[in-house]
Amino acid sequence: MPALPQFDAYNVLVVLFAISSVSFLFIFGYTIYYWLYKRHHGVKKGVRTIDPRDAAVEEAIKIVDDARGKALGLLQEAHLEAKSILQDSQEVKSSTKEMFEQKMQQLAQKQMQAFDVLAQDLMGSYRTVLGKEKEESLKSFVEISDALKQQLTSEVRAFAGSMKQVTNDTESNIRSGLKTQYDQVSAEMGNLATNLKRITAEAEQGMKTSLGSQYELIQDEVGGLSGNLKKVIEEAEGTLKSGLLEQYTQLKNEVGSLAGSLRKVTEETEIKIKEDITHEYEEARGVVHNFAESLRKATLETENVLKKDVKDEYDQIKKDLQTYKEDKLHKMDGLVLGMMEEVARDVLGKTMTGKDHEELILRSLDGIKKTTNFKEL
Amino acid sequence: MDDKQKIALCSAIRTARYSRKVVSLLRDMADNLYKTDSQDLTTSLEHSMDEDLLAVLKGAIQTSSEKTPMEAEARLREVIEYIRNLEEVSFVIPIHPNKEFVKRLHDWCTESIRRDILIDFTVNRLMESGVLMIYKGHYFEYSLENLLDEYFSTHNMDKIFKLEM
Repeated sequence: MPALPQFDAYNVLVVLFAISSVSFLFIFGYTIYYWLYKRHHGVKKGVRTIDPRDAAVEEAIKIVDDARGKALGLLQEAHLEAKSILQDSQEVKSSTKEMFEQKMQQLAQKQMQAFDVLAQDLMGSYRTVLGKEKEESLKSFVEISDALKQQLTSEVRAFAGSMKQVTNDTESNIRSGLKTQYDQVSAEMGNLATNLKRITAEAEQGMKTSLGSQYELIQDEVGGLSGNLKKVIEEAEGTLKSGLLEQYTQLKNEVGSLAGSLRKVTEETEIKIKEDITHEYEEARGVVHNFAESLRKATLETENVLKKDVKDEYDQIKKDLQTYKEDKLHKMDGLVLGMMEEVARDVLGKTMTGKDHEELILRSLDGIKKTTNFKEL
Repeated sequence: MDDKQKIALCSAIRTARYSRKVVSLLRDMADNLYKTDSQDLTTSLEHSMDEDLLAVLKGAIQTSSEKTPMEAEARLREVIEYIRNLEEVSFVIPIHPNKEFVKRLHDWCTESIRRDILIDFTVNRLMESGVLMIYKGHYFEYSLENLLDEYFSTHNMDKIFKLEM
């Protein structure tokens, strides 16, 4: 086991002496150095020694004064800035309001002018279309009426022609029949006269030959007979002629009455056709009138709808502009208020005394008391 | 301890901070009741409490019927419990209140809220001015910031601008 080192009193004293000597030398040297340093700086600058605490106080006062001056400058600048902003905001408010009203009036006038032009164009186009439709309808009705008239006229003409033809044919047939009978009767009468003349000649010859004396008598009797015969023939011819004339007259009267009734029927048909056409025309006119009325109503409805739409749009734009304006004004008010609050808070907070604070606290508590029922809490 | 004594005790203490000190002193007194003479303890309280409070405490603790230390301890414990259970209302204010202002505040509380109540303070130097009151978990902020906000939001701005101009 190694032996522990033994402390010797001599060694301890030597070490202590050495430490004290070194410390003494160090303190002595530092003192000399400090004395020389102070002397050197005092002589060099020629300024007497100043207490650092006084310098610090002066420096602090200077800093505080500078800070106060800067703060006052900032406060004045803020006040001037707030004043100019407030003036600008008022000017902006009034000028913006006037500009807005002018713009709104211009916009309203433009909208009204555009609406008038639109309404006039719409009415013009509707009138044009209505006139065209009316003209085309009238034209088509006139064409239909002409076509119907022509067709009916041609049919009536054809009917009248055919009736005339039939009448003429009947008349010619009757005439030819009467002529044939007349010719036949004339021929028979001619033959009868020829035979009678031949018989008379033969009898005269016989009588002349056989009856000498009585010839003259018989000749007279035969002459009388011949005269009677001629008379009979003439009477027969007259009777025949009168009968034929009567039949002709009757036929003529029948054809005349037939033509009259045909004319009457034709006139009635024409009147009826005219009435029908007039009725159709009136109906078509009513339809066109109803169409025009409904078109007018539709135009008015469209106009009203357009007016309502334009008004709604105008109201919406107005409302949006009002909202925008209020929003902007509210923001501007908020900015101005915030600035004023800052200024007021800085000014009031720095200038209120303790008494002022106490009074404000008690007034605040009175405000709480007025608005709160503590028993219900 | 009757109601009159209670109200007087509360009015003499006023603040919650002082009530804690009083409770601590009264507990010491109750704990040492059997070791020393009660007269000595009362004398020791004279150096630690206001005269008004001491008078009220003496009236509340010492009665003619007290004969034994146990009865005195019971009275002390009753006073301690009463002080401990008193309601508190807290205020945050920008200045440190002096004694007169504390009295005015406490008077306001006893008139407005209830007759036996203690007040407590917290000083907030960052507040510009005004007061923040806290009672039963409800906050009533009447700081200068709020007052200014309310003022500028309710008053006619044109009037203010004209005054400012």
